Amino acid sequence: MILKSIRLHPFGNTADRTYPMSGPVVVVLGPNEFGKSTLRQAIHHALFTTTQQTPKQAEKSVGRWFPRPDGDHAVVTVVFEAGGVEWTLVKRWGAGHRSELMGAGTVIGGEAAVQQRIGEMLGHNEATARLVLSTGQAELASTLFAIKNAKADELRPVGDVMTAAAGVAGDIGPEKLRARLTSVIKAHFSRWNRQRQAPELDNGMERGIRKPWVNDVGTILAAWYHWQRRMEELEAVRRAERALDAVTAELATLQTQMAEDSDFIRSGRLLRDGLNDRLLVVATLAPWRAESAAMAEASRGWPSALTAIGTADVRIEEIKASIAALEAEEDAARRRDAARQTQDHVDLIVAARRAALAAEDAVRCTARPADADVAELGRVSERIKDTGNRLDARKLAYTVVSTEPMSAVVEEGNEAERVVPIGPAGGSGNARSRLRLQAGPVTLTVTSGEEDVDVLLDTLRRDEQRAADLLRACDAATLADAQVKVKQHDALVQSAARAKDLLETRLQGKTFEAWQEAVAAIAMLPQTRGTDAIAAELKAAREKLVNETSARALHDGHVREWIATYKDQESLLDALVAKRSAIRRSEERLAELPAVPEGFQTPQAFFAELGRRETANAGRPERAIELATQQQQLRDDVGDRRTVEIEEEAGLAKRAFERACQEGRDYERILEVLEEIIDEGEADPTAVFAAKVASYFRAITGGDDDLAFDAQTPHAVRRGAAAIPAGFLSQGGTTALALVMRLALAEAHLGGCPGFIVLDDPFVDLDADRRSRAVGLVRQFAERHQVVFLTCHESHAQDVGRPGPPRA
Amino acid sequence: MPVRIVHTADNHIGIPYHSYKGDDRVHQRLVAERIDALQRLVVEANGRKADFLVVAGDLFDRISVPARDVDATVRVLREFSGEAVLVLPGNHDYYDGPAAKLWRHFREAAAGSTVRLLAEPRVEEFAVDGQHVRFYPCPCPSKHGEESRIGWVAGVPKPADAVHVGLAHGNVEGLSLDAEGRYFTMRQEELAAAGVTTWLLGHVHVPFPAAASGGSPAFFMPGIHTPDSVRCRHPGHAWCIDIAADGVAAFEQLSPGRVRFARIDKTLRTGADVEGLARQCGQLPAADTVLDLRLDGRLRAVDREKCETLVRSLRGAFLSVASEDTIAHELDRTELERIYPVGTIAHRLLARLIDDEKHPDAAWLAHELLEAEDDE
Repeated sequence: MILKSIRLHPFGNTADRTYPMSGPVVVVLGPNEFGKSTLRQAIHHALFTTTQQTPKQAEKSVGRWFPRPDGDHAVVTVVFEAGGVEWTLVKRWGAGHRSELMGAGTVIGGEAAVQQRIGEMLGHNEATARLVLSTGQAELASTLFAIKNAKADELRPVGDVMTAAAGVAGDIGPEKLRARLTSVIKAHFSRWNRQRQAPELDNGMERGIRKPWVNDVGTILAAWYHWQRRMEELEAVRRAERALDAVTAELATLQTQMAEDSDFIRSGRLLRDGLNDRLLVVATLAPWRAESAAMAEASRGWPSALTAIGTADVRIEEIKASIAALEAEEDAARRRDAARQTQDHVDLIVAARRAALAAEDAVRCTARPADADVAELGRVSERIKDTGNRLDARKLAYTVVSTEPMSAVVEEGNEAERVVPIGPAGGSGNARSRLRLQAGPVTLTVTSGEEDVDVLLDTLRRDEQRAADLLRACDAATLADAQVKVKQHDALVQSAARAKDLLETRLQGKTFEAWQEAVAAIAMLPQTRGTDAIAAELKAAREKLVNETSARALHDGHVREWIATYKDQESLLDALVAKRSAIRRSEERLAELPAVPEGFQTPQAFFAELGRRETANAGRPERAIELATQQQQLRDDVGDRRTVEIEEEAGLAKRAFERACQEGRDYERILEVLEEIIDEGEADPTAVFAAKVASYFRAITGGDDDLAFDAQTPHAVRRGAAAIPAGFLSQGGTTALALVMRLALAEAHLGGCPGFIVLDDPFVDLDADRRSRAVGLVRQFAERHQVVFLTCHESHAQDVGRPGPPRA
Repeated sequence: MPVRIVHTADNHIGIPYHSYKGDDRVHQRLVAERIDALQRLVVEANGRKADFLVVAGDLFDRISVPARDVDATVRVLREFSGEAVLVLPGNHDYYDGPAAKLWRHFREAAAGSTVRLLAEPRVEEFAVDGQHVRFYPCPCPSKHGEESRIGWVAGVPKPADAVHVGLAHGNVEGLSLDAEGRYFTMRQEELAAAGVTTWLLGHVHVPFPAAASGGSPAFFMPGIHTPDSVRCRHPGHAWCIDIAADGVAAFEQLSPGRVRFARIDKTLRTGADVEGLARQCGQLPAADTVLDLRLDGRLRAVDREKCETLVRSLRGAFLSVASEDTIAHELDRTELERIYPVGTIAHRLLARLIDDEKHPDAAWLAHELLEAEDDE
């Protein structure tokens, strides 16, 4: 129900006043006592208070609205729209009470019928209007308390209201919607391969615009085909334009060439005979000129060649004599070199001979001990050593002491006796096997061991005697000395033998005297230069001989050739004169013939070019016709289509294709969300309501507060970790919470049906910022339901009523 | 005394305007504008007592332009009252030999007049009040070409007392983007080295130099004489140039075009954006403007209705309005709450889709789908 106007006639202090109520926001501005509360009460009573009352009941319910002091009735007329029909409701309480509802050409009379119809059109009861849809300024703050404490039959739980609304209006079966979406998506993507961004393949075959799909072509593919056809057309026109350029250029070139070549051929043909003659003359002249030149050269060269041959003969003889002398000198020089080597060898022989004689002298002057003596000396020496060792094993250590100084004779072993002074200090010594001491009358002999020491001492004495004899025979001091002498003598003998061998080798089988005679012959040889100098000179002389001989042969060859060709010099001169005369005549003929055209070296080059052009031009007319036909065909292909226009069309088609793709993806997204919702199951309407109240509250406070609910009523504001009970909120907070609660409840109760809400100065407790945001919320509400806004504040009225965004 | 030359190019007479064939009124206006603008230029040239009217290539849109267009064009050119009209073949109306049908017909139509086709690269000499003027035409032999055609000019002796004017058609390096170098591209140093007083060029559809610049420019590019598509951002231009032997004495930009093409690419998000679009369109000369709207973005139903209303009103006012409308519908939370009861599957589905920034259109598509289901 949307209010259109309301007339109070009379009601309270208002005798007769009509309030127009058109538009989504009805602002009634007036000072206190203007009648705003009266108006709100009039609306409420008109819609809900029965007129069928006893005078007492009437006095109690609406009596305060009877005009004072003596009014007995009150009348309100409300014009409203419901279900697309304008209705007029008239209610009179008190005297002459009546209810009347007129609309759609009918008049509904009777209190019960009117009230039933009004109830149907409103869709809610009186308590809902009182507790939710209509509020005075004073009642607003106690909204939460009133709702919480409403009787069970007064205000339906908001969850029930929302569930009922969800169950009846505007909903759709999810399966049906899913099926519809699936169908729409298929209609978009049919035959379109998103991975390839191209039409689906048909058994591996492309289905582009050349062979498009015909059946089941989806929106996207259809748009793509349209775009591709424009692009193909664009490319075709561009291709044709390029081809036309090429054909036009070729045709122009061809025509130019035809014109140029025709001129060339025409003039060339006129020149052809003259140039042929020129060719023949030139062909003859060339060898003649060569022959003439050869004759001239022979004529000049013949006499000098003969002179050169004579001179060469003399020179060759001189060189040969010089070579013979050099060869003799070279032989003598070689022999002197050989004699010099003999002298050196003889010097070596002399030295060897001297060494051999010296070695023989050394052997002769040195005595060699007899081998038998040396051998016996060795054996005797061993025995002496052995006996000595045995005696040493019986060594005696002695000490002789005398109280008085005296002399004693001591014989130690086989040593000779000796006189030794002794005294109190005593004397001491060692003796081999036996000691004999004679001091005064006392002779002491001490012998060591059991063996016979005398035998040992005798043996030792004999062997030492024999050893001395043998050493004398060997002329040596010791056995080792005798052995060295033997070795030294043997070495001298070997050295003398080697010196003799060397001498024999150097003598090379000849006698020393024979070598001395050979040396004497060397002194008789002649003196020469070195062999190297002679060889260099000889080489130069031989090369000179070769050159001279070659030069002579060359001249001789020429002369022989000329004789063979020209017989003699006189005949040659005659032939030369005749040839030169012929050449002159041909050159005169050549001057009369046409010249070779500029740019050509020879007539042959000109004839080649002429022939090439004749051949080339022969096929050109046919090609020109062919090109002209192609040119016309291409011009027809291009027609009057402009690439600029086709580009525009292609751009449009491309954008349409992109939109179709996006739309397909959007439908897929819708299906995806639908599946999520189906999976989640039914929504909890109370939770949905609570979320809406919280979001409205945040919209006014501008913060990020959340609300804690007790059933359908918020009981605290959660601000971070803290929870502020609703009863502890500031006046502004309480008002804001009450206002959003009423707006949210109003939306729930009114649902999708048009309705209205009456707000009497709801912003007075709000600061400027919150008021501005609250105005926005109310205006947002007014986009869905009518708002009757009563206020005594002009600025509030302007904010709510004026178009555009609310003032900050 | 300087000679006065009115210099135009790229007239593209005979553009078929296929895209507009669905609307006879618009199509005829666009086709006629090509010649009408040339007519206005000839009148302007006569009023300014120009000595020469030079068309530096692409007088015609293609070589197969209908004979009636050639005849109509020659009739207009014949009205020039100066010394001569000099027409240079460009790359669109190239000259590929004496057999070229377009130019054979053109010559026949222009016979006996001062309208002259400059199809050969050779000097064309005139004397105007004792002042010798030598033109050096460099016609295009095909639609595309990798090398410029001006090479021969530098080698021609140039008397000091004459005005030497080069005429060529093609891209100028640095002046426009021709990455492939397919349009007879001329280098600026090559132009300077040719030894002419100045060059009158064609091909690039944007004028050169800037209108307010002074001095003696080495070359002029008039730009298209009247816009031919949305690609042309200027109203169509030509030059009026006074040239003496020692250089360009003065030059002035002419604007013979009437029809405008305007493309507006705009992303709309709010009702204010729609109002901004309306203001933007309101600044255009509607009766002469072909408007091409490319609108995208996302609008709520109420703003979308406003936008559709605007486009309908533009269609009545503008010469033509093409609109590629890809504006998505925006379903916001307010509308969601109004339409769908909280807690329903529809409400839950749309609430999540509204928050899905990666698929901003999904919510509206889902809503349409739900509405369609509801209707069934």
